[in-house]
Amino acid sequence: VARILVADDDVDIRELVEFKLSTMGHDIVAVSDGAAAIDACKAERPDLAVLDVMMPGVSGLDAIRVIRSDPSLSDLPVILLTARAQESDVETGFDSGADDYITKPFSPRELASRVQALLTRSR
Amino acid sequence: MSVARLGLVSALILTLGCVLVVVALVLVRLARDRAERRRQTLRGPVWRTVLTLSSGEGEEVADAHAALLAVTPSQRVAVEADAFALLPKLRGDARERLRDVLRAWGTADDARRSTTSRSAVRRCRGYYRLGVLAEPDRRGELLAGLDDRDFIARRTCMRALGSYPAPEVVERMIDRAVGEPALRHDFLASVDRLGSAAVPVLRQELYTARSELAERPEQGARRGQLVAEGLGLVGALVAVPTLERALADDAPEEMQVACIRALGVLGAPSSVSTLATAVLSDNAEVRRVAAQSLGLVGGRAAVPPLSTALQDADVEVARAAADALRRCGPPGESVLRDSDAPVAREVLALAAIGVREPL
Repeated sequence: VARILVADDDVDIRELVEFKLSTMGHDIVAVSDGAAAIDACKAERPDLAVLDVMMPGVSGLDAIRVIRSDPSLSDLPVILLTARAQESDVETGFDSGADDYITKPFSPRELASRVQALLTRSR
Repeated sequence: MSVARLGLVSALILTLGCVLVVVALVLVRLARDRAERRRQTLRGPVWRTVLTLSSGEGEEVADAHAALLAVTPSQRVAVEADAFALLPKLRGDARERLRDVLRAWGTADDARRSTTSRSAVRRCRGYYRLGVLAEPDRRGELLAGLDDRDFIARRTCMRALGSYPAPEVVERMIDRAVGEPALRHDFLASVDRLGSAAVPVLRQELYTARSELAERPEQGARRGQLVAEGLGLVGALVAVPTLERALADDAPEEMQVACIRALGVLGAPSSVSTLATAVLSDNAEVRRVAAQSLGLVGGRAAVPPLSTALQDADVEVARAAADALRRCGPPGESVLRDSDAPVAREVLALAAIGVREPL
């Protein structure tokens, strides 16, 4: 069982990801913007984060940069879940420090597999 | 009746009217809150079943499917809008399963009825839902909707048609987007969703655009621009020769620029010679975009034409060439280091501090 942070301003996606990962037995912390994601990372110390890129205020990319600049969170596995599917967007996502990149529309089962793989690798 | 008395009676009637209106508004609000609470109560368990259907595995999916087919009309109404919002965000089996349930609920007939409503909002909802359901025999309503009197409804239709990969649909979408430039983004979004299914029609339309240029230059140029953008967007490598031939003619600037951009995005090494010719064009914008595209194609073959463009009299062309040379890797960077062009030093300096795009 892992603690997973889910940050997405789209309530449908947030509910779906939260539901899928919680049915796998994980403990979910769900927030709707980048600033809350940064706060939740510091307060809840999740084992993995699933972040949307385009969120109000602080974007997912900015949130990763802040997370990576914090020595205690620099190893946190981060998956970006985003509608931005261009090659340059994926490149920017990995450059900012993401460990994986999933584009919307997405398959919940594929997301679950990637979460599990990252958790296994990070342990 | 005296004037004072008349005034008093009028004031009383007015006050009473205001009180009645306020009471009515409060009652409406209370009724709506109650209906929403009821909807939320009904929604909870059914929505969990929808989520299980969308993300579950094996038997739980079969159980969820059966449970959703057995819901009451009020339970269906409680989750229907959310299910329609969720479906386009799903991919693969999850999307198909949810779509099957929505079709089984008879939502396509409801959506079709909405498309004939007098309310533009309802028509938009109907078009959107027909797009989500993607039932081939419903495309007629959506094609007719491209001529809807309301702009937002036409936009919704254009987006919804991205679920209908038929040549006839792509042709109509192009014609509509050519006639109404404000629909360009919606057209491209739909082409992106259609992907390779749109390519044969887009290629054919590029020929149409070239022949149209003589009689209706503005329309031909717009068609060529849209089609070239679409071909680049869907990564249609098979269209590279068609795009190169379109450039060979004396096409208008916007069409040339779109074709050159598409060739850059497609990144076929065989395009270098065509782009090398374009980078010598009389038109500065064409030269600038050609330099950018050469950078996207990259490789050693792109370096000589970009070295020439680095000396271009137009600083924007030279800057685009410098940035493209940086993209070409060590052979291009070597040219930049040996150059005395100010833009070469600028691009190297920006790259040194991690800025990849020209300011």
